[in-house]
Amino acid sequence: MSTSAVIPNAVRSPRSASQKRQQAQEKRATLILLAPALLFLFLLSIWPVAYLLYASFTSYQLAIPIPIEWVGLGNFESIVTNPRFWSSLSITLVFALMAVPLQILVGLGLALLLNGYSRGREIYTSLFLIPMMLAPIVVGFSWNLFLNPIYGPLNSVLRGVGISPPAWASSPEWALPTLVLVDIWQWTPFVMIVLLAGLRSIPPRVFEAAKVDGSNRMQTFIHIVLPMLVPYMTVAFVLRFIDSFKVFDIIYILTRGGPGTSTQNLAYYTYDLGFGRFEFGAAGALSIIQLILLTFGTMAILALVKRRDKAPASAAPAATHRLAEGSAA
Amino acid sequence: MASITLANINKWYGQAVHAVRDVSFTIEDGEFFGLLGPSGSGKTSVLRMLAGLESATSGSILFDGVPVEDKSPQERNIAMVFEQNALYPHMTARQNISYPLKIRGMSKADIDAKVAEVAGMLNIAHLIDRRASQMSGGQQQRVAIARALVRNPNLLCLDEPIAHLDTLLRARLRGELKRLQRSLGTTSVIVTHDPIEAMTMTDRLAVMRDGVLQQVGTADEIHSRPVSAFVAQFFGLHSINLMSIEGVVELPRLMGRFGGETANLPTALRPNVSSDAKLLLGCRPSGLDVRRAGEAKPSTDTLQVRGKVYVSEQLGDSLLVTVQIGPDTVQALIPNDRKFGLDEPVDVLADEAALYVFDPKTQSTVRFAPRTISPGLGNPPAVYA
Repeated sequence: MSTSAVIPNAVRSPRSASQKRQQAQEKRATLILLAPALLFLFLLSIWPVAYLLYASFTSYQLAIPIPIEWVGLGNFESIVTNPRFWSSLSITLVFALMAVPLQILVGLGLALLLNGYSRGREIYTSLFLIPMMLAPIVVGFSWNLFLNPIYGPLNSVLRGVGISPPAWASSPEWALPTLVLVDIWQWTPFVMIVLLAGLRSIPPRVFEAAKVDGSNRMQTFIHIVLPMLVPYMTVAFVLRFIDSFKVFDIIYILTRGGPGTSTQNLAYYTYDLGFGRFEFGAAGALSIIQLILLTFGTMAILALVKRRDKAPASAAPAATHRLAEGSAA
Repeated sequence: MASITLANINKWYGQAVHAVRDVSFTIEDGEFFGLLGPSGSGKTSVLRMLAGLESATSGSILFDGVPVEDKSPQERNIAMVFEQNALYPHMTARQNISYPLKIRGMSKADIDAKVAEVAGMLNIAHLIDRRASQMSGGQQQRVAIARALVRNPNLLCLDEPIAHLDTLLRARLRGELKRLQRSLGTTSVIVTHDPIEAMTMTDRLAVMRDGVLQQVGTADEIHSRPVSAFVAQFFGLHSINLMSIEGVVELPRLMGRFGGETANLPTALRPNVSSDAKLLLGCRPSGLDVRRAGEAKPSTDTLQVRGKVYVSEQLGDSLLVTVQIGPDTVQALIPNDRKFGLDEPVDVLADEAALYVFDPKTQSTVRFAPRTISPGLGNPPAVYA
């Protein structure tokens, strides 16, 4: 026994030593090759976040030349006790929960419609993607013109058919729905393309099996297509939820958070704190709060889906799991 | 259950592809029918038209004498088992099997009873709460078969249901499917490119090629009385040997050239020689004999031609010898008490009674072999095929 235990070790050890050396070399090469990217990442991403975190615990004010003091959780406390924070949070959530489900609904409709076309599908798909390709600033200005109360085409059309148009972005009741409308217009194509990919991943045999089983179109849609799209809808929901949680550009262009504070979401509130009033400490704390809220919100959604889908039936749920890991990090 | 008639079915895909050409046949009530052919022969198109997944360009399909061309698969009450990947992936086996019953509005108690019954029949009771991704290919196909059988269809369509499984599992499911079909008496059609599957499972079968129906009959009929050289070659455990003999003369013994060698021919074939002195002969490997050169004496009722051994393969209880004759090769299945070395000169012999004669131009059968070996008799088990 002892000899048989010794000999293989003697044979193995030189090979493992050379293997170790090779591994070390590979590690060094990897590090050297990654260094520029890591440097950029540090300068542009890690350092600002770290500085933000530091600032959130201080009384950093850009406008007033007072010495920066460590205030601990003071900024956080004053934020969560401020009713403006809670109204911004509710506006953020209302915006996200109005825009995202509607995007999924309309996106699903469009995806189903496009999936039915075999001829020219690529052309229609590309056309539908145009809003998504525009810069949000461009979208904001375009809608600003489109909704203009005096020379905007939408109001002319509405007046033409006898409807007196609302003031859109300048009315307290219509401002938020207007922003939701613009977000839907811009981002539904994204949901559509994700769900179209989902639809196309369903093997045609499954549809034939359903047909043979006597399932009509509605039953096939509800019992087979929709459940098979759930992983794709989850991905779309999470990505869109994160994006709409921090939407800023179209608010900045169309309403500037107004009228009053009726469209002031957390992102705009942060901007206002930081660059309107130069309270960098408070703005930093608000950013950290948003980050925490978003992370936990996303994790909660994914945990819900994961529990519902304990045994992944296809590759798509794996994608949502990866997403969960990504957003947690 | 139903009897099914296809009359003059044609299927065009676009303007260019005439996939099924004027196919007519009848499937009796309770019969297990096979559609056999190489890929692209139109057999799957025929099945899909039977199922109602595709419509025929022309012709009629009758279920119990009633035309069904305009009816959906559901109205025809057919069930289908696909090649693979047709389970609903987000559902468990139980949900898959009960789905056709659920959408028909059957009560939960009835569904549970039916599912338990078919799950027992197919030995999948222990898998019932697994999803497709948690089952092997064979298990998935069992679930697919259970889903097809759970609602007592008029016609069970099987589209190469076991083609993607490994050899042993295939052999096992072949037997199980056959027993199941017999005990349930469901009229069934199986599409396959595997002659063994067609031969072993079905009551009757149709051989197709390039969209044209070649022959319909029992496995034994098609094996012993193939209508053409194609059917004879395609059908059987081992492909039939085709021997194209040229320059046939009678001096006074009937002789010709095969693969550049002189072949002695049985005198009985004299009336079959074509006007340009050709003969197209067929002989199953089990009808050929191989002897050491010079061992056998030429006779007037035996085909005899000289060649050399290309390879000889042990099949356990028999020996498959491939003999090279000029550029041609023939295969002989002989008792395994003989041994041959590579390139050993040999005589290939065939009794006149084991020879088929085909028309050299049309390849259709001119003369059946008077004595044939039934499939399975004296042949090696299917696992060698």
